Amino acid sequence: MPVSILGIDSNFEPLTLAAFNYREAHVYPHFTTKGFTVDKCQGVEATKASVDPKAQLPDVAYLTGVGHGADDAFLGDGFGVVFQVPNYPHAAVSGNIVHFLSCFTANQLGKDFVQNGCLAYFSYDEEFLCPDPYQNIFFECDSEIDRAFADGLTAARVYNRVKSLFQHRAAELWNVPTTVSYQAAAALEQDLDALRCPSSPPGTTDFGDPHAKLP
Amino acid sequence: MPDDANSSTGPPVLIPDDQWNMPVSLTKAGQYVNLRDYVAPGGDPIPVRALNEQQRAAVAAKRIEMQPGYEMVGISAGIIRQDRAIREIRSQSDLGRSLTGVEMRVAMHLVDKLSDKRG
Repeated sequence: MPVSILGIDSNFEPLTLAAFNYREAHVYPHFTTKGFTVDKCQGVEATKASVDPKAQLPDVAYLTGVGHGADDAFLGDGFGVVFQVPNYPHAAVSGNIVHFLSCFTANQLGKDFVQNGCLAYFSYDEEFLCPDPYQNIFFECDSEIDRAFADGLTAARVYNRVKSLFQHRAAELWNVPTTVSYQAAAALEQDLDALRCPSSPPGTTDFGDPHAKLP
Repeated sequence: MPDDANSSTGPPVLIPDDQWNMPVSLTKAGQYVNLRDYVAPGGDPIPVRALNEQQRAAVAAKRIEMQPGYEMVGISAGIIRQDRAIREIRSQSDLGRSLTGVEMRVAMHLVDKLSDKRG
């Protein structure tokens, strides 16, 4: 059976649109190149009604997306709820790996996903900062999660690769002597610290299995 | 750039001009200490890493107050300009703590960079 990934991307305002554009250009083509089937619920289709049935299809192994977030919810088009604790079908996440570029969802939603069978959850427990004019660097670092999973790495190795990229890009920005670049470097370090996943510090099982990988 | 920044051997330490006058810490009496005074001999600032949460917030808010064109962006918060940033920091909201974190990382980076230069 082919392995599918499901993209759930908001694009209704400038920030999610910028991330959406980056992901369209750099994330989904990589999955396709690696032999995955890509299905998407984007823009006005980034809704619970569209996502719930697709996420439960047996060939889907990976959910990825960008959207606004809250401790207990991942939001889609127009701030509409896509997933919220406890009102989501467990089959949408059970056996799947999930990555959301979204603020705060690691506080509750990700842990609840894992308690209901999600193999590994990657997202942030604070605001994801991404200042201009360096936004694409932030999107690049976040989407390294997707590229690394597409490359067949385990969750633990995905985290190591993502951490290295965040640190490398931050080091580059610290070498540009302007206040704006320094703030961007600091924001990158802070975003990395806010990333939660199976092997992120302090190391708990809240976010799933470090050995999880795509089939 | 003050002379003390490049007083030892090796390549010069490049510090953005505007950073020299921004606070990086406080005195024990609660007065702001800018980067220039922090690294100058003879002062007695609170070490930047020893600031408590309230002191960090005060320093961060003052730093942003000195940046009229300040702008930060968050996926959930949107574009955050100077007035809002200061308000969020002073109310110690989650966003305010994130913004404080960024400014204080910059402050610590500068202090570390100049300390390394001095050996």
